[in-house]
Amino acid sequence: MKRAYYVLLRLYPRDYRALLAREMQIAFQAAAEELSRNAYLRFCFTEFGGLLMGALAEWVAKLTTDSAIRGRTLPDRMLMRPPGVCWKTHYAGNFPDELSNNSSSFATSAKGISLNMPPACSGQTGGLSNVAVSE
Amino acid sequence: MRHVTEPVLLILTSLAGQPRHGYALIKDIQALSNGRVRLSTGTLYGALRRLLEDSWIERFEQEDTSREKQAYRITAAGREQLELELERMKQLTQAASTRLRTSEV
Repeated sequence: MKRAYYVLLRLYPRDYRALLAREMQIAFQAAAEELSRNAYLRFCFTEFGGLLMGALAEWVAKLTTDSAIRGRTLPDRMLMRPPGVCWKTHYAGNFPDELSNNSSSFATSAKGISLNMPPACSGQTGGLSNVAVSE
Repeated sequence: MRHVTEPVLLILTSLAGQPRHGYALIKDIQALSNGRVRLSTGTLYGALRRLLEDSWIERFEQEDTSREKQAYRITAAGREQLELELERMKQLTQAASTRLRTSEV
């Protein structure tokens, strides 16, 4: 049943799972340990129904809420600047020309930046001053 | 004023007493409602996420629990919202009681 619960949790949006899935698993385990066999089956039925409805509600909320507002409580970790990558490079392409000129040869997405560590970062701290940047 | 659902009202009431983590909330809400309401984790955490978004509650580190058990506490905005909701319910109860009394006569 725990395994089924974990599988159903994957129906939730990724940002929701990143923040709350582990807590949900712990609460589910704690509640399940206290129940008798008959009560356990009823409990699982309720829990799985709740998960399905909850996942649906969360997807509706995710698709209908502005990402900036949602990001206040559920930040998208894919959009966060990784340690050692300066802000100018990480957000290249998302700012006016004067900022993105220097980094036009670099990837503009967070995924691309993590693969191509640019020399332009070497003079900037980018949040972690002691992180060595590859050249 | 935003509509407050029963799970949200129960969560705010539970957190008004003291900060709690997820499972403690489920148990306390069951006790508060005399066993009538048992929130599933899906319902509970969906409501908690909305309450966090509205800043009616906040997450905080509780020293005496493990790091995985995240505790929640009510904020000033959440307390104000709970008071407004209780006031609304009082008015409704009074109005219903008055009508029942007048209809009995």
